[in-house]
Parts: sequence; C-alpha cells; structure tokens
Amino acid sequence: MFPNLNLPGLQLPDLPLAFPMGGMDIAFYVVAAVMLFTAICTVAVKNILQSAVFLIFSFVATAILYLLLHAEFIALAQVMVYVGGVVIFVVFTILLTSHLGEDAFATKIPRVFAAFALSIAFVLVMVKCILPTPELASGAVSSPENYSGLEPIAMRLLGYGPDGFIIPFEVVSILLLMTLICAITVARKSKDEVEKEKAVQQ
Amino acid sequence: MFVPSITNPVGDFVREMVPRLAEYLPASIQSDTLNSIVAFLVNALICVIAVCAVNIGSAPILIYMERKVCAHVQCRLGPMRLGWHGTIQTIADVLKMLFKEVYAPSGADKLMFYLAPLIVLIAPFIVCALIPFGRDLVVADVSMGIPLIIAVNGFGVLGILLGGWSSNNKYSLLGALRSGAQMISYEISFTMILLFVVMISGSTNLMSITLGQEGTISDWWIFKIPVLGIIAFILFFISSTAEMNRAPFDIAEAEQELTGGYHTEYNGTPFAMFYLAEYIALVTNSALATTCFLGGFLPPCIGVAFVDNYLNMVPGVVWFFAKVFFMIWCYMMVRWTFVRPRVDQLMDFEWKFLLPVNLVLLIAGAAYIVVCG
Amino acid sequence: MIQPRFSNLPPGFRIQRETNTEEFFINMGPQHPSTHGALRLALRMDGETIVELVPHFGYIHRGMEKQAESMSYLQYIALSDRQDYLTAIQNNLGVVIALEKGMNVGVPEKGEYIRVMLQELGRIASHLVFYGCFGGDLGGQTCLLFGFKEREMIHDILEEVTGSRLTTNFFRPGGSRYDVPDTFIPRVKAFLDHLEDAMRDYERFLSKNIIVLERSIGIGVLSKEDAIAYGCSGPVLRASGVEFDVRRANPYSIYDQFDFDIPVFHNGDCYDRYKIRIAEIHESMKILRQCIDKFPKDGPWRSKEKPVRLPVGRYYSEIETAKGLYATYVVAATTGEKPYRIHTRGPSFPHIAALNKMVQGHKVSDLVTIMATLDPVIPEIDR
Repeated sequence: MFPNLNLPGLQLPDLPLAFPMGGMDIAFYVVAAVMLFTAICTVAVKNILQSAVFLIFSFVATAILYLLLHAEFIALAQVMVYVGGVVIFVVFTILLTSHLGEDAFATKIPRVFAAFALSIAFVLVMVKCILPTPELASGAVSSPENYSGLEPIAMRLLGYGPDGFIIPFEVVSILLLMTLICAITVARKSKDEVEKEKAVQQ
Repeated sequence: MFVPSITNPVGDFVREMVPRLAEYLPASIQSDTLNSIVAFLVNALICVIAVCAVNIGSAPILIYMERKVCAHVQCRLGPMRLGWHGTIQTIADVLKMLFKEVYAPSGADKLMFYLAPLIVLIAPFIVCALIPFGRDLVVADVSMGIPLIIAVNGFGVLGILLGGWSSNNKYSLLGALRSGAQMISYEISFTMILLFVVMISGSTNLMSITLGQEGTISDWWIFKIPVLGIIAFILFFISSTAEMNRAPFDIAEAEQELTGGYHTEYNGTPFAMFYLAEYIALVTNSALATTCFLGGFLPPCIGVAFVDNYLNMVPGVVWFFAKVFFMIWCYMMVRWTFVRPRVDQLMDFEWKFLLPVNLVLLIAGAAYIVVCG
Repeated sequence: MIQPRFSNLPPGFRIQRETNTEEFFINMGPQHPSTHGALRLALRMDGETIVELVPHFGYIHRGMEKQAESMSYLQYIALSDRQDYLTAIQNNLGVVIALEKGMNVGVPEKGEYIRVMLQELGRIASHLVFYGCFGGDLGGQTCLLFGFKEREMIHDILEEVTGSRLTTNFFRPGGSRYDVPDTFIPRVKAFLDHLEDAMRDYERFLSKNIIVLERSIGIGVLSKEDAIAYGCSGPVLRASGVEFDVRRANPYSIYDQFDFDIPVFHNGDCYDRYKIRIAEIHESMKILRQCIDKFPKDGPWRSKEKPVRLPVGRYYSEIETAKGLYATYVVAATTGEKPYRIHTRGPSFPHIAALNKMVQGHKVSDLVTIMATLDPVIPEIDR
C-alpha cells in the first residue's frame, strides 16, 4: 500500500476523505474524472452523434467503476445493455433520421445560464446529502465472497425463496415480450402496402 | 498490495521473480510495495505485448494465407515473387499501407472518422486476452469470460456505424447501416450458442470450459452431446461468419454494390486498422470456436494409450493453433466458395431460421442435461 | 465546410426533399465496380429500394460513327473491334458482311467454316465472361476467375489464328486476313473437350446454389411485351420467351447448314438470363463440333482479293453476336473507298434502356444482379 501522505498543511481531518489510499483510489479518481469529462461532453457537444459516442464512453467508465467495486456482472451488464444495446440503437436512429452531411441535427444549447444554475444546485444538494456519510471513506467495500458473481446473482434472480426475485423477473420478461410484439405490430406493413409492393415488383 | 483481481499464471511467475531480482538492488530502495508495483507493471507489459503480438503478428500471416487459399481455390498461384513463395509480399503491403498519407474526405466528421477504426479494434483485443492458449497461457483468466465477450462485441458495431456515418458518403452510410443491422441481429444467435456452451459446460470461464473437455475426442463439446453439439457448432460457424462481416455475409462491404461499404473513404493506417480488426476477429472467433467446441489446447486423444502418449507430448499451444488455423481455413474456404445473399434475405435467415433453431437448441440442450446429465 | 447537397445536378434529378423526405439520390458510377465500365446510373432510392433509375451514357463516347466518315471501309473493321471488345471477332463479321453485300463477293467454303468457328468461339468467350461477372457481381470472386480461365484459352486460340487476343481485326470482304494454322482444329477440339468438363463444374458451382437461386429467381423480370418494346435482343430477349435468333431467323454465313437449338426461357428473370447463356455455350459447342467434323481440309480460304470499293447504295447486315442483334448500316454516297455514313446498332444500348423497367422496387443488390445478367459492354453503348 502507499504510505499515507500525511504532509503538514494538507491534512483534511474534517472530511472523511483519505487521499490517496492505494491503486484503487487512483483508479477511482481517474475513472471518475473520465466519466465526468465525457458526461459533460455529452451535453456540451453540438453534434448529436458525437454526444451519443461520449455517452457510450461515459457508460463504459461507469462500468469500470462497477468493476472497481468488484461487481463484475453488473459492469458487464452495463456494457452489454447500454453500449451494445441502447446507445447503438440511439446511433442507429440518428443515422436513419438525419440527412448525410447536414448540420440539421446540431443542437443549440438554450438558456445556458439556467442549465448551469440548475446543475450546480443539483451538485450542491448531492454533496450536502452524501458527504456526511461515514462509509464514504475510500477503499473497496468488502462484500461476501463471490456475492456479485454470476452464479449467486442467477440463484437469487431465479430463486423462489424469500430473497428470490423470480416473480419480478418474470413480470419484466412479459413486459419485454409485450414490447417486442408492439414493435412488430408497429413496424409491420399493412396489407395494402404489401400488395402495392408486390404490384410494383411485377 | 498490487495484486490484480485477475489471476494469471504468467503473472504469478513474474511476481515470484521480481523480489528475487530486487535483492541485487541496494537495500535502501528495497520494499515490498515497490516490488509489487514493479511486478504489476512488468506483468501488464507482458500481457499487452503478448496480446499485441498474437493479434498484430497474426494479421500478416492470415493475409498471406488468405491470398494463398483464395488463389488455390481459383486455380492461381497467388503472390510468388517477393521472397520464397511470396512470403514477404504482405509485409511489403503493410509497409506501403503505413506510409500512405492519411486524409479524411471533406465534410467528414474528423473526430469520429479517426475514432472509428480505434473503436473497432477494442473488441478483438479484449476477446484475445480472454482466450486460454495453453494450460498456463492466458492473459486474463476471468470468471465471467463469456459475458465479457458478449459485452465487448457491441463495440464492433459502434465502430462500423461511426466509420460509415463520418465518411460523409452515401455508400459508406448504407454499408454501415447494413452491417449494423446485420451484426446486431447475428449477435443474438452468436450469444445463444455461447449460452448453449455455458449451459452444457456449467461455467462461463473459458479455462474451465476447455478443461471440461479433458479426455478423448469424444469428450469435446462438439461430440459429447450427440447431434446437438454438431448442430451448435455449425450454427456458431454461420453466426460468427456473419458477426465478422466476412463473405458470404459481407453485405456491409459488398464491393460490387457499395464499393467497399463503411470503409470506402478510409485509406492508409485507418484502413489498415479496419483490415486488422477484421483479421483479428477471424483469429478470435476461430479461437472461440476451438475453445468452446474443439477442446481448446487439449490434444485430440483417441483413447489408445500408445497414441495418446505421443499426442500429449506436443505442447497445448501447438494443438491450439493447429485447431485455430484449421477453423480459419474453413472460414476462408467458405468465403471463396459462396456468393453473397441479399441484405433482406440475410435478415430473414437470421430472424426466421437461425434464431428459432437456436431457441430449440437451447431447450433441447437443457432437456439433455436434465435427462442424461 | 459542407457544400450544399444536390446543387450541381441537372434539374430533372434534383430531389424534392419537401415532398418526400424518405427518398434520396445516389450516384452509381461512373467509377463503380459493378457498372462494367464508365456508366453512370442515377438512382432515386427509398431506403435500399430503387424508385427510379436514369442511366447516363457517353463517358467513353469516341464518335466512332463520325470517325468512320473519314476512314476507309477497311479501317472501320478495326474500329468495330473497339465497340464490344468481348465480341470483337463477331463485330468484325457484321461489318464485313455489309461490305460484301456492297462489293458483291462471295466467300469460299473453308472461309465460311473459319468464320463460323471463330464466331462461336467468340460467343463462348463472351458468355464465359458473363458467367464470371455474374458470379463476381453476386459476390463470388472465385466465379470471376473461373470464367476468365477458360476464356484465356479461347484467346490463346484467337491469338494463334488472328495475331491478337482481344481486338482481332480478322475478317475481310471475301474471307479473312490469314488462313488458319494446322494446329487450329486440334486445339479447338482439345479446348472443347476441356470445356465440357469445366462447364459441368461451373454449373455445379452456380446453377443449383441456393443463394444464387434466391437472388436471381423472380428478380428483374422483363415481360415478353416489354422486351420487344424496348428492342432487346439476344439472350435477354430469348429469356423473356421470344424465339428470335438472327442465325435462325435470317441466316448469314453458313448457319443454315448446322443443327443447333435456339434455347428459349419464359420467365424473363435473372436466373433465366443466366441459364440461357449456359445453354447457348452448349449449343455453340455443338456447332463447333459439327464444324470440326465437316471442316474442309483444303481449298481456298478466301476469294480473290479486290480493292474495297463500294458502289453507291445502302447496305445492311445483321448478325447475332453473343450480346444480341448487331447490325451495320453502310451508306455509300459515292463509289469509292470511304463511306458517307456508317451506323451501328449495338445490342447493349436497348438493354440498358430497359433497366429502369426492371429494377423498380428492387434493392441495390438486385440492380447489380440485373446489370450482370444484361451483360452490357459500355464502349459498345457509347461508341
């Protein structure tokens, strides 16, 4: 471990922050900085597609944060769902709806000051609420061995017992099925259209 | 301590050796912390170099192999002039590619244009780090290997979409949209087959998937479960071909239709990176097929002790690469044999045939495990 | 800086984005791998579906017909090589027959046999290129090489006979430039035996391939009426169910002495256009085998050489090249060595004109397939 940097004049006895405690801490601050930077870029960049890309990197940074907390499956699920799924579809939608080489979808940032004021207020509230928590002291929170591994999560997710989540899991799957069917219904061509297409082809 | 949470046999060796070497240093700068930091860095360096060596080193070999396989399928000789049987030809081509001027078309989104080839390279490099090349030869022996592979595969789509969009060319955009739709669709079957493997092997760790096939050839996952294993292997072959955007599923590039698709506007090093990503994906997918179905680094024992003794004498990494190159050869033969389906036919094939078959396969596999396992 | 889109297009092709934002405009060519040369196709697309196609010709227009006015008749034979370079030897014959009508010279029997044999070799060569390009445009690069492999053998034979591989410039009024060498008949025989095997392989490669079937059956259907209305000819016309072949309808040379079929298919789709060319290769092989059997050992190979001077008049010839009807119309205003005007009717031009009819409602990939089965040669369209 790193020696604790207790330099005179740099002591922060009132804050429950210990800096830097070890590799994990350095990693956390680096990742957090990347995450913040990409998050800011996401809202500040004028081009929607670029902001979607920054959003992806922000999500990836979040996933790395989960990894640092030894929640490997959550991290992978984050990448799988957000990077592999959601944002790809966002990018797809942008590509499909926009015209090539146009600035049409460049966004303007209206009311910059109001937005800044709101976000600063939000940050202040968060800091006020979170900072007093004593467990904020750095270092990975120790959890039971393999608590967040694939197998325990699966066991809990599909378990019947008091700590099982089988019913919510199935409800969610029905919801997803409904979404799928809805999507197909929306995307399906009506009969007239199909016939028209056939007529064109012949 | 600086012990990475990912265990690694090579790393253990380094961690053991660094303190021993450190004893030769003056006593004043010796400390366990320093040793662990140095060991970590050396370890990381070895891993990075190993992954890069396998990936980047295999690309010229594969390009040469592809040209030769292609040539012999087409009754030609292929490169013959430079070096013995044209062996230096690819190196010359790579050098030419690297020394070309790199420029972006006017109106292109420069940031995205140069970012896209880098993003495409993420997935193959990460997947390569997870593959066990031998009993003690794996960079990252993570417990959730297969979910990680599934997760990082999404980056490939992203890179292609960005590359196609930022080129400011309609053919590129069409190619990017096509390949995006294709890769997202085929990712589902790809994932399903990997799930099938996870289900029958009972592990998501690639090392234990490999070790679960210890024994004779009949213990490999492709043969262990009668019929289902072979079906799964064929489905894996099809969906990974599509996932890699290789012919006959290369509708994204579709030279005859889209003049190269998403990388129409790329040249020089960025183009080389797309090319590299394609060939690394070939290696990693073949390695994945080898690990999941063909017994990984295990020798093809046949149950006769006399023969098996000799087979076991060959190091695992040799068997591994032999199988990988066999798989690559299969991919290449398919590429140079079939013609390309149309984009909507490809989608129909995935959603109306491959996916239902995969679901049935999963159920059948589960039934097999319940009944026979 | 991003240039405004579509501003430099002719007014007819500017996309009215206000009316239909779904559609967009795409330029296929003039530099595109599957337009088979410098052809530009302006496409109006809805997603990947083609709404409208407008071909733009003239990228390699060389003014051949205008050039012909300042050339002697003999020089124009060399120019006809440069029209459809895949059927150069057949184009030569088309021009020569028109000239022979004017000069009123006949051809001895051996000369006619040489002509027919080289015609059919040229037809096979052109159809082999079609086979290669069809497979190649569908994405099978291997087919491309396969088709060209046998075509090279034909070119070897042509090189031995005519002295050049592609632009043969071989036939002359009254016969040909040279007699064929002694090795000609054995070589053709060996080649036919080889081609018999090769064609079996090639058909196995594409004809039953499920992807080829899926991609070509029902694609680019050209009805019988449309095919006639657009002036299509050759395999394209016969694939739509019209039994018209100049060799049978209006026999030239000695085609009336041979026993061969005119293959006709009735669906008019890409697969039929592919199958008909394969069938024609077999028919050509049949004719060649008959030629080999009946080839006169000796006798004159050309009639007595005369200066090529045509009397005043209009002379017309039509022949069946691999692509279709190739007609030459020579107007001689004064008796002499130079024409007043020569007009050529090439087969590929009407085929490209019919393209718009065939591609509507299909995908870009289908356009490539349809283009391949029309088998156009752009220099012949532009001339």
